[in-house]
Amino acid sequence: MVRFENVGMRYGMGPEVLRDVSFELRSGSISFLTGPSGAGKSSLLRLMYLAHRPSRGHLTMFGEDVNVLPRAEMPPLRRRIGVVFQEFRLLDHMSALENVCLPLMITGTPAENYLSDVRELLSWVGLGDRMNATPPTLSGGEKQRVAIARAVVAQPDLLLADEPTGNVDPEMGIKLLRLFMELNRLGTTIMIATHDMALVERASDAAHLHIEHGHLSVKRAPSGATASQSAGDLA
Amino acid sequence: MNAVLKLVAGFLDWLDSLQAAVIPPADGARWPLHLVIAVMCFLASISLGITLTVSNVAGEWSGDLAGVITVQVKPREGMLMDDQMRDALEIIRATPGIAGASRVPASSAAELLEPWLGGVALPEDIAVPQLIDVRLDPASDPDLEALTQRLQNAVPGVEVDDHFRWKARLGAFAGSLEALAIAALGLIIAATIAIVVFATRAAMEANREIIEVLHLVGARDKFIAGEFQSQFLWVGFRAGAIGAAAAAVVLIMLTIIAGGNGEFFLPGLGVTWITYPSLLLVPLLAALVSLGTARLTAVSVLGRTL
Repeated sequence: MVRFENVGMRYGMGPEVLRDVSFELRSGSISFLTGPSGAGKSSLLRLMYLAHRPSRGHLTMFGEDVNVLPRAEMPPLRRRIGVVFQEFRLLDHMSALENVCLPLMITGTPAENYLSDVRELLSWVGLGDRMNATPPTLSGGEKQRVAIARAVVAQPDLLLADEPTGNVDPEMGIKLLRLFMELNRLGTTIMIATHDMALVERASDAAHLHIEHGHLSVKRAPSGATASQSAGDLA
Repeated sequence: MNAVLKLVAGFLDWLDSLQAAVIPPADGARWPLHLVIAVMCFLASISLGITLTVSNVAGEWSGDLAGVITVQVKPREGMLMDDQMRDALEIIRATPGIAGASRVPASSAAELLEPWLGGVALPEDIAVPQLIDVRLDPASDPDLEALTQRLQNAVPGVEVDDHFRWKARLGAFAGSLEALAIAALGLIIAATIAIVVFATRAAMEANREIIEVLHLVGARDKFIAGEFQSQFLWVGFRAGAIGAAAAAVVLIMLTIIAGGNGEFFLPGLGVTWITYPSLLLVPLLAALVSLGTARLTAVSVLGRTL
């Protein structure tokens, strides 16, 4: 599903923030990405949610070579990816409900086809009574849950989450992890970037990647698979 | 006054509610942008009014002169004016393609001379050229050159005026005014396009974060450009309506100031009735120009992103 081959990335003419990153995420896998601040976690995710192209190496997403993919063909790929941004990136002038509807709205699907599902999803994440609130009036934890609901509402093939439990209490953190596990069980490939080692330990079946100074290493291969550090093949 | 302002604000809010709202309208730039486009539309409306008026007047004057020629018979020594006029009328009436010819009465000739001579009656012994009004048959094409030759051979001192010179001058004058008004209209449209390009870029810059989120959730350029084009469609329409309405008020006031017949300076040179319904086109044109420009600008800017 996702394949990195000796990928390097730099912003403009700056230094490389990712160096020779090689790994593969197979369809239906779940992985954690850890590393200190500034190590390159967000940059790696930016490559995966197609906000940036690699400066070198090869990145293949859903069988498409991102290096040469025409920009007109990016939107269909992006629709297969759900992203929980670290800073949420909710649209402040829209209600929580409208924010969650956004990935469906842009496809031109009539609202009556998905509104009840979206309301149900928001209720599930504990925002049943805050659907019409706008992000500036929501707490950090509430924004986090809206962002997660927006990322999963279109049932993406790949879910990327950058610190998804950073602003919620431990109880909600566990509930969200269960949601990710459930989505994974239903076939969604998941990668979670986090500082929360307790979360990583709790999901013992998941792969664990660690990034430091732009270099990626495998801390734990998924259960039932053999880690191949040299090839970076995880699954 | 407050009630009117509230009514206008309510109407604008209602129009806003009709447009797509993923990209929020830029409140800060809203009124200045409306004002600038409204001024452009006001100038465009005035240019349109001038073009239509001049075109209409030139058409009327040309129509009045078409199908008519004037034969002037000058007095000659040793010849009676009545004989000259009779001979000339006989030749004219015998010419194929002439619908009719009549002697212009002395009273009408005196009226024509009144601006120069005043209302004083001319002494009997002063010989004044006499005029024959000739109406041409619109169905046929009389040979005016041959007619002129025959008249000059039979009646010395005759002059035939087919008004070609006047028509040519009138056409040149009207054409120049029309060209000027159309050029002004073109410049106004170009300026409006430049304003909308600038405003669209500013709006996109102000909403850069939203655009990036839309891209990342899989929105196509067409969807994002559609958001901006619908905003500018309504801005163009509203500002166009305000500009055209202001122009209509100015034209009505000018007509009132010009007097009861609404003519400025020259006969027939007044605002024609067709001008007012034509002003309805201005908001539509402004809306279309704004929509097209915003779309092209947005697509062009988005094309430079990943």
